[in-house]
Amino acid sequence: MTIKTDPAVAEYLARTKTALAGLPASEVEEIIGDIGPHLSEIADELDEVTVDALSERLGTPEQYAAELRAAAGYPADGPEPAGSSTALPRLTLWGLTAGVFAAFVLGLAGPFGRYPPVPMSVFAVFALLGVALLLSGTVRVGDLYDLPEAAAARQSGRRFVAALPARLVGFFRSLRPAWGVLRTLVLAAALLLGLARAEAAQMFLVVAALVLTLGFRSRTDQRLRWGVAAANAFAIGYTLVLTAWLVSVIPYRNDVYLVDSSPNVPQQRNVYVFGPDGRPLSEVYLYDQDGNPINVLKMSCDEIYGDVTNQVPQPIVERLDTGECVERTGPPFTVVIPRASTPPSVLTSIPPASAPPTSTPPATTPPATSLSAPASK
Amino acid sequence: MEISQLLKGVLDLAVLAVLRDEDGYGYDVLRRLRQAGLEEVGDASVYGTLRRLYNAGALTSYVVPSEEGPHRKYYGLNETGRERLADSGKTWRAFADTMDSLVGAAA
Repeated sequence: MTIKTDPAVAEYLARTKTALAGLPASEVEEIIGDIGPHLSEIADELDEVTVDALSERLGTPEQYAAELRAAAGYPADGPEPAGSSTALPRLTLWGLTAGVFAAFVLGLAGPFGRYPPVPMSVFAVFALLGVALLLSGTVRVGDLYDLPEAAAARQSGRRFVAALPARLVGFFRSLRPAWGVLRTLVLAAALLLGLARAEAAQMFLVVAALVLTLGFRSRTDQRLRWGVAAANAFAIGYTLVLTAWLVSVIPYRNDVYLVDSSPNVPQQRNVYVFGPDGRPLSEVYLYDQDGNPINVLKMSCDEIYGDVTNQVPQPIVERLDTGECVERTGPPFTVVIPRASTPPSVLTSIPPASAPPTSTPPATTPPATSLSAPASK
Repeated sequence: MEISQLLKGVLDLAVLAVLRDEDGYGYDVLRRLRQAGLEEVGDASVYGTLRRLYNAGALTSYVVPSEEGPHRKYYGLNETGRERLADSGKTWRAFADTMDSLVGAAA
C-alpha cells in the first residue's frame, strides 16, 4: 500500500505520467513506482508542498520526464520517429524468436522424422534474416532489448517467476549445470541418429548447436544466447518426443511378441494367413490362448518406430531410390494348401467325421493321414 | 569542462558501481552517488539509467513492503550486471589512464 496522500505529489506524478506518454504502459508504471516514494520523501522535507516547490527541486514534471527519457534511452516525446528505427530490430527479434520456435519443432520431429504440418521454411527464412542482421552488427543487442515487446515480455516473465514459490525456483536454478550436460547428451544422440539416417540438414544444425553451447563466448556474448536458446528448444522438443515414445512402448512389455529373442533389435515379423482355398486373408487379428493380442511391428510409410499391432498381415514397406515410399499389401508368395490325399508336408485339418486312431484298426488307415504328425512333433 | 557532460558517458558505470556491494532503491542510489562526490547528477537521470540498465538485463529488482512508508523498489546487480561492471570498469580504467598521461603532459 503506497502512501501518496499529498495532492501536490499526486499531481506532479500525474503530469509526469502524461509526459511519458508513448512508452509501454508497464514501463510507465514501473517508473512511477520508482519515483513516487522519492517524491513523497522530498515532500516531507518541504515546508509547503506544492507542485512549484517540487519543481524547484526536480524541475517541472515535463522536464523531469524528458530527462528520464533521455537517460533511459527512450524516444523523446512527440511523433514516433520514422518506422525505420524500430523496423530492423523488430524484424530481428521476431526472426530470432521464429528460429527458436523452429528449433523446437525440429526437435519434436527429430527422433522419428515426423514433421508437424508447420511451414518450417518460412521460419527458417526469418530466423536466418535475424541471425544475419544480428551477427553483421546492423542491429545491436541493446536495440532488441529496447523494443517495447521485449520489455513487456521480460516484465511478464519476471512477474511469472516472482509468483512461483521461491523454493521451486531455487530448485530449478540449482539444476542448471545438469541441464547443460543433459542438453549436450541429447544433441549428441540426435547427431548419432542423424548420422545413421544421413539427414544432412538436421546433422548440420545439431553440430552447430553443439559447437555453440560447448563454446566459450556464449556466456558473455549476448548475441550467441539466441543460439543457445535455439539449442535448448531443440533438446527439449527432442526429449519430449522420446519420452512420449518410451511411455507408450513400455505397456507392451508383457504382451506377446512375434519377435526374435535378441532384445535390442526387434525383427520384423509378419504373418500371412491363408484360407483353405489358398486365398490370402487380408485382415486378421491374432490372440493367444489367454486372450492377449499377439503383436507384430506395425509397418507403414509413416515412420512410426515401435508401434505394434495384432493386425496381420502388415504391408511390406519399400523405400525407393527416388525417395518415395510404397506399401505393398498381399503376400509375396502363393501357397498351395494340400488336401488330405497329398503327402503330409503340411498339417491339414481332418474332417470331424474321421474317427480318432483308437477306434480305427491301424491296418485300414491310409498312410497319408496326418494324425501321426502331431505325435511325431 | 562541465561535469554533467562527463557524467553522461559514465553514469551507467557509476550506477553499477554503487550497486556492487549493496542493493539500493532509487533515492538511495542517488544519495550514494552524491555522497561519493557526484553532486551534479540529476534525479531523473539516475532513474532513467536504472530503467535502462534493468531493461538491458543487467539488474534485478524487487519490492520491499513497508509498514510506515511507501513500498520501496530495490535494484541489484545480476550476473550480467556484474560482467558489465567489470568490463566497463576496465574500459574506464584504460581511458582514465590515457587521459591522465595526456593531461599530465599538458597541466
